Amino acid sequence: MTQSDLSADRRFPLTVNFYSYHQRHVLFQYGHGKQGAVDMLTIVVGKQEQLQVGVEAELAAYRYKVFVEHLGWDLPIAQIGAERDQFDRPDTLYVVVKDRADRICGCARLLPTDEPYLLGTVFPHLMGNQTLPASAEIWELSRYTTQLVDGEIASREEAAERFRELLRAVCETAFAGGAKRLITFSYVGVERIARNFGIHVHRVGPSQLVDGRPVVAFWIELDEQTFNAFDAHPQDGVAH
Amino acid sequence: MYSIPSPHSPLPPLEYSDNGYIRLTYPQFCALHFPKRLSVEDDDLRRELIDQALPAFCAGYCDWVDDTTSVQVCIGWAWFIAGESTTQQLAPGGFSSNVMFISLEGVDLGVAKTNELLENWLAGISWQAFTGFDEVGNAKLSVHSLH
Repeated sequence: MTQSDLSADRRFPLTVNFYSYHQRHVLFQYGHGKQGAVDMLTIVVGKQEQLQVGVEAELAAYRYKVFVEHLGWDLPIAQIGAERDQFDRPDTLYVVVKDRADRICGCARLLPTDEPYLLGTVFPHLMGNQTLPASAEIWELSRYTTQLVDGEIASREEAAERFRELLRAVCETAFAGGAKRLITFSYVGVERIARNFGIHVHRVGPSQLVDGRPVVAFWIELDEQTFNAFDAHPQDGVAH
Repeated sequence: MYSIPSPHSPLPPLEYSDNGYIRLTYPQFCALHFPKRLSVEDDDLRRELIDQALPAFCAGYCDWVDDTTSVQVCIGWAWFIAGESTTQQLAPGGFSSNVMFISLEGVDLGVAKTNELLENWLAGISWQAFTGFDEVGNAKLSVHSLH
C-alpha cells in the first residue's frame, strides 16, 4: 500500500462490519521530534472468534503487561502472563492497534450496557446517585490503553496520536454497531486528554478515589462534535 | 430538558436529564456552594505543561462537588504554579463537568458557551485559597489508560 493510497483511505469513513473481522492501516507523519519519520499503525476490530489466530492471546499478554505489571492493578482473575476477566465474552468487541512490526501497542474493549459490564458490576459507585445505563445504544469502553511495553518509548506527540487514533476507531466502531454514546471511567488526566481532542465528553459525577487515585466516570457522545473532532463522517444519523 | 416559563417564576429543582447533563441557568450555578473540594498534584500534567512551554513548577487537578441539592453538580479543572512563590493558575484544557447551561427559555447554550461561562465563574472566585486545604491527595497520574 502506498502513501497516496493511505492518504486517500483517510478521506473516507471507516466502514466497520460489526460482524466480521476488520483491519485498517493508518499512516502517521510526525513533525516534531521525529521529523520526517513515518509510523504506520494497523487497527484491528473484531470479537474473539473473528480475530486472527493468536491475536486474542497476544492481546491478553499485552493487557497483562500494561494493567498488571506496569500499572499494578489488582486483577484477581488475571492469570500469570495473561489478563482476561469475566467481561471478555464471545460478544465482547475489541479494537486493537498494532505497530509496523505487528506488535500490539494499544487496545480497547467495547460492551453494550444491556449486558453485564465492568462499571455496572464492579464500580457502580462511580455513577454517584445516577442510574446505571442499560441500553443497546450505550456501550461501555474499558481496558483502553496505548501504553507501550517491552521497553518501547514514544514521544508525547506520538503517544497522543496513537491515543487519538485508537479513540477514533473506538467511536466509529461503536457507532457502526448501533451505539449513540459511550460510558467509561479513568483517571482524571485521561479524561482531560480525551476532552482536549475536542470530542464531546462530559462527566457522570464527581471523581472518587480508587486505590488512592481520583477516578471519574464520563460520557463520550457519538455526535457531530465528536466526529468532527476526528474529521470523521461515518454516515447519516449522527446527532447534532 | 425542562423549560422556564418566565424569569420571575420559581426555578424547578435540579435534575439529571436523559443524557446525564444537569441543565441549569448560570445564576442557578452561581448560587451553589461546592462544599466538597479535592485537589491533587499530578507530575505527568506538570511535564505536559512544560512541553507546552508553560513554566509549571507544580501542577494538578481541582474537583469541586455540590451535593446539597437532589443532584451532584461537579466541576473539575487543571491548574499549575509557575514558581514557588506564585499562586495557582488555570491550566489550558477547559473544564470537566456534568452541567449544561441553559437560557431562561430552557434552551441549551452549548458546550463551548458553558465552558466560557464556567471560566467566567471561576475567575470571580478565589479558588486558589482552597487548593490543597480540604482533602489533599498526592496521586501521580502518569498513565494513559482507562479501566
